[in-house]
Amino acid sequence: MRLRWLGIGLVLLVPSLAFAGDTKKSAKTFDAKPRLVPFRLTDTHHTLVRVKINGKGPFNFIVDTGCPVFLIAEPVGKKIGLKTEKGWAILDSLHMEGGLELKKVKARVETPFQIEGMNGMGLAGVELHGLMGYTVLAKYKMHFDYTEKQMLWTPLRTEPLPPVRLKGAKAATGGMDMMVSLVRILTFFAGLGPPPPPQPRGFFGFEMEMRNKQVIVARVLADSPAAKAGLKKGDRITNTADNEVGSIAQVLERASKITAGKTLTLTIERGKKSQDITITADDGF
Amino acid sequence: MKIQFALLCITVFFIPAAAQAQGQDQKQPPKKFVVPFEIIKTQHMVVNVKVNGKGPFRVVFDTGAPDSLVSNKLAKAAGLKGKGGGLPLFGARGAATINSLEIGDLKATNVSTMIMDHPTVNAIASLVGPLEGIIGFTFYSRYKMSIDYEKKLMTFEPNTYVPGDVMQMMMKKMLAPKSVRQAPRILAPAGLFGIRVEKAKDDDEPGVTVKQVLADSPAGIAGFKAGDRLLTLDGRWTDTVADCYIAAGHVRVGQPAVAFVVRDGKKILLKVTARAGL
Repeated sequence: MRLRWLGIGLVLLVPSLAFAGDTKKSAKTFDAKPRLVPFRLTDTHHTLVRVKINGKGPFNFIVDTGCPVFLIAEPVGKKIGLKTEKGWAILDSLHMEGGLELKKVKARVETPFQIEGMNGMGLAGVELHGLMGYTVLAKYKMHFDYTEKQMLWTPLRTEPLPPVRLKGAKAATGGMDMMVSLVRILTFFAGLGPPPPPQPRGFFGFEMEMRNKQVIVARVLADSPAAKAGLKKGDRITNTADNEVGSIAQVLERASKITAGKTLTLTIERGKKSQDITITADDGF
Repeated sequence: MKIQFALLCITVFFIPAAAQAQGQDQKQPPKKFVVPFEIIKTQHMVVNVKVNGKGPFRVVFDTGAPDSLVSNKLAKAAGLKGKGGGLPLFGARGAATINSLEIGDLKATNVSTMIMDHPTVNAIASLVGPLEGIIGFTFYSRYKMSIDYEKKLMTFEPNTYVPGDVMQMMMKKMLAPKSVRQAPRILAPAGLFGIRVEKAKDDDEPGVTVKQVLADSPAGIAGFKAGDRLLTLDGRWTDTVADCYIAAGHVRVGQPAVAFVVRDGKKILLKVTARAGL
């Protein structure tokens, strides 16, 4: 899968080189190298990328072609210490996870009700800090594929159009402001709130492989919780917590909520003997 | 006049609505479809679509929209009937399924959508002419998609992704008992690395510190050492312990991932291959 991305990357590099020298000013600094941009999908099916603004962060932004600007929620703007003029700020640096970097980015500092609502209700499963809209997105050719874990973004030479002020945009508020109060009421009655911080799953310290449709312990790391519990290479895992096991994915799924200090019980067969082994998870991955 | 840019952002925000059917794509030939788009003066992407053979209609293409959305006018013309439910705001008629959605030569089947006159879409339309909806995640996630702002072209190539029913998931989430809703999310790595990391509370520097590396583990084989400062794993920043687990949760087992560590003041690239295990 990775290789295919690289293939696309190489192909895309060629037209960019052909454009080199278009403008003297940008020719020196312009880097048309495509970069992988790691993303996550939020619980609300938004495409989340992480950025560092003026070296601070990381912050969570949504890739949003439906937003005309790079929009930073007000509390985040305050946290970074952004100086704003009529709601606009110039960011000295905008680093994206994966390696892309922009300098002197114009940003709007304002809290959209969507962000306030989703954060207030904890809907996305992660705190959102802003929207990455046209003024940043249009600097790239973007490849999306939700069967992958990364996007591929190639810098473009054409500069996006600057943000425009629109006459008659007042109509945009028609009815939408009521959403804010609605969300607050819903949040209050449903007892919703921001999610608690995530916790890491525990560490057990053994590897598995499939052999004759059976899950076999392929390796037990020395000094790991699995080694201490007595798990051995070659053990056949037949059950986890009294449920039959048919695949590695099943074992991973059943253990996926076990945090450090908690236990996982495996029923294993060693030779002709069956036994239960209880492993107390440690921290690590 | 204060221009509310936030309100021009049409990231669809949900109010839980009726459950929605999620269809399966019929078999598409593995072909790449090229579709032109337009950047309107509000700097939104606009495409022309045909819905159930009717149209073309101009709609906004919005990667910030988890669902697609059509106006009542379009719904009527295309014979779409909402399943009702949800809040009776902005002419909302609930969820519907579009039998055929055509963008250029690309024809998608069973695309779920909401029927609603989105006020922000209307506001934009008042400036740029009629717009009858939003194309969102329920459509574009089924394709490998590229957006080229320079050429003003998009490409679509079917992938195997099934978008799932986000509205139903949201409903379930909101209706779940508080104990379930307030339970912390557990970050599960995709595979086994054999490493422990830590970060002191007052440590604001990038990265985390490697506390222990297990012998013969993928991390040990990759050359990680206790005391290393881990900066990135598989292209993702590892500035907190949780970040490491998120990165480890996104790697592909059996495929090498690049990690950067700082050791003795030098930045070192390590290649680590997570194995099937935990």
